[in-house]
Amino acid sequence: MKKGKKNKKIIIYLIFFIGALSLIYYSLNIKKTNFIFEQVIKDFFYNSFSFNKKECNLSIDNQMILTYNNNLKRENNELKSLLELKSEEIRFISSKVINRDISFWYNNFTINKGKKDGVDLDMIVINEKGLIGIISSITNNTSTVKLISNSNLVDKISVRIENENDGVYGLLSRYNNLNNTFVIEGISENEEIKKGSNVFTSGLSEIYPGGILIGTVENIKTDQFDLAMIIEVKPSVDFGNINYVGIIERIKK
Amino acid sequence: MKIIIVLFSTILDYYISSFLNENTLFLPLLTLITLYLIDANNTIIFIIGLIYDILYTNVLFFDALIYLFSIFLVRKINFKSKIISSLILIINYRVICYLVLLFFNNIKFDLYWLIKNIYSSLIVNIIYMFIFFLFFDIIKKKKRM
Repeated sequence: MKKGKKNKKIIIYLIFFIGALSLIYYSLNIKKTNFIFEQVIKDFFYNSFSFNKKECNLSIDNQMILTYNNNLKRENNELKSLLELKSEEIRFISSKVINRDISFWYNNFTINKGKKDGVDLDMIVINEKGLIGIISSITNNTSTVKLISNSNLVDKISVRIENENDGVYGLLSRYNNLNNTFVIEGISENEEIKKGSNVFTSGLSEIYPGGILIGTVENIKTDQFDLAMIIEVKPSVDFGNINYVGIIERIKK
Repeated sequence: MKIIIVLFSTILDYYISSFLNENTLFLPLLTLITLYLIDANNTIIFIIGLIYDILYTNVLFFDALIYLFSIFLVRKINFKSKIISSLILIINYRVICYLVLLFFNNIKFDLYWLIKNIYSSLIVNIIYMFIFFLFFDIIKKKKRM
């Protein structure tokens, strides 16, 4: 009788444990958007308790716009002769980081702008140093930014490494947390790439416009078969220390 | 009264974290400590953990469940001293978070990151514990009078 009760208890604990792991897996890897009750609670809390609603410093705002425009101009000059460009305007929405959990420090953080400020999903987030991430979820007053150092995001970013020719295209394959570098793999050994070369978004994806600085080439190695290069890119942004960001809104004409 | 103290500690968590950077030595876990010190039941621990997740993270059941696990383990160990139990709770919470994130491949294996998070979580939470005990001592004395 007693053994039966003990076994029952063990089974209940086991079911609870598996259920808990499933819920955690769902929230870490599957859940993409906020439920309505989450949005309501979050909006209420940050409206009531968030201090320092002051806007981003104007000079940082201007620096971000200048950096973006300079990089875009460079891209446009190179592409003008090859492509028919659609002209588009961009609008910056400046924002402050209001929350960042230490367990997810290199994955995401929360900013103080949301739907009512014109923020939408998949908008790009930058600062004056370069690309930070994309908007992964929004409420009326806040948004969550997924950093490009997040393992779910990093391998979907197409990049262009500057060289003396037209540049070398590749994909960021992962973020190395130990030495804080991005890794680009599979670049042909015949390509000429120098240390210190800038790495930009290539513009080949729908989400990331071209010309946003990601970092500089720090180290060049070859793979185990000596056929391809492995390039380590030092990020231009210090992901450990982000306070103000700019969200790019692309307005197509 | 207990719920008000817990909600207050949750708000305090937010204000203290607003001043943090990555290398801080003052990581707050005030909500977790308070839930343990007031002997909250499992339902309240789960609900407060859920509120913490909604407000401060993007992962809905993460802290709710890990709060439950951590407090459950510490209650099973059952040290007489609440202060030592709270320290074990902090270490417990950080280790379980680390293992879960590692298991689901959200972070890379990095023991230094875990140790850094543990020692960074001690100072502000120990100070909070002492303030908490002092506050409740004063209330007990007033009730006796």
